[in-house]
Amino acid sequence: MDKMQFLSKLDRNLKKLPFEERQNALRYYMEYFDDAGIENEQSILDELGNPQDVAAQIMANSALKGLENSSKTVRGSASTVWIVIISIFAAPTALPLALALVVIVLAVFIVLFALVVCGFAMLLGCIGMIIAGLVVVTQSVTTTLAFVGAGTVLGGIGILWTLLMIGLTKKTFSGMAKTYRNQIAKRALKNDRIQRGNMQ
Amino acid sequence: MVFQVGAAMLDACVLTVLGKEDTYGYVLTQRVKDVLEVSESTLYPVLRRLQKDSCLSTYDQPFQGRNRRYYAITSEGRAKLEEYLVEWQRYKNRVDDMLLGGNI
Repeated sequence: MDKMQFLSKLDRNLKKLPFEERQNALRYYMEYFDDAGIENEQSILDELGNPQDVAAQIMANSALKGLENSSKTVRGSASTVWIVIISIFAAPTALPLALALVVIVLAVFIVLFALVVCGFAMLLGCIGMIIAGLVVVTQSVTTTLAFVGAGTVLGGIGILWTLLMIGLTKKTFSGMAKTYRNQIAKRALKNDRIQRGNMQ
Repeated sequence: MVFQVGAAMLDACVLTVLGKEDTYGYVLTQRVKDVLEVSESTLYPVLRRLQKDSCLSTYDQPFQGRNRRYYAITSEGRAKLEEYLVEWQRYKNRVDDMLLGGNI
């Protein structure tokens, strides 16, 4: 591995960091290689080792580590949504607001669930129509063709619909999580500082 | 080295080096490496952390057609360094007492 390979791998492994942090880290290592000079390049590469480990070291010190990592998966976003709900209840001063927010979140959940179920219903309908068509094949071939055709169309729409809705669900979840994260970003920064204070 | 180097020790060493003069990543790392067994990748997170805590600031200076990023200690950094020096003296005395003085 040479310098450029190291830097591009490092860059790829820092994807989860905010743009500015990533630029900063990359710039530091680029300069580091330049200042060390070509003759030291190999020994530095040997000592730095795996770019993934170097990236992990950088990210472990990033202020929003837990939140940055959890935002990428639906599960992570879902648990962030739960944290929103729970932490809203923990604040006794804003109970009416809390209730309204919970109801909104719940409503969004229900709508998304209904939309996904809708997709599954279409898939079921597709299977039903094809079976119905095949059952009457001895009486009327044209009816069979019509039913199977309609069933297939329904199935196609159903598959597209379901995929679209699953995508929408993911987007909604991560959108909610992101909004929440932005709000607590400052608090997380503060906690990080306190934690570090305790470490020392 | 058999004794572990912690975050506070790294912070203190970096602040000490920068307390003498502004310098850039590579030289800083070499200075600290002269004393502690740290890897080339140890200091970036330390510098970033100190910068976020406003213990140090950075500025760019052109060098051979590119920019070199220099690190400089701030007044907060100097205050922090003072704290570290006091704390280190206390800690060092206690450990000396224990290990060399036989005061158990």
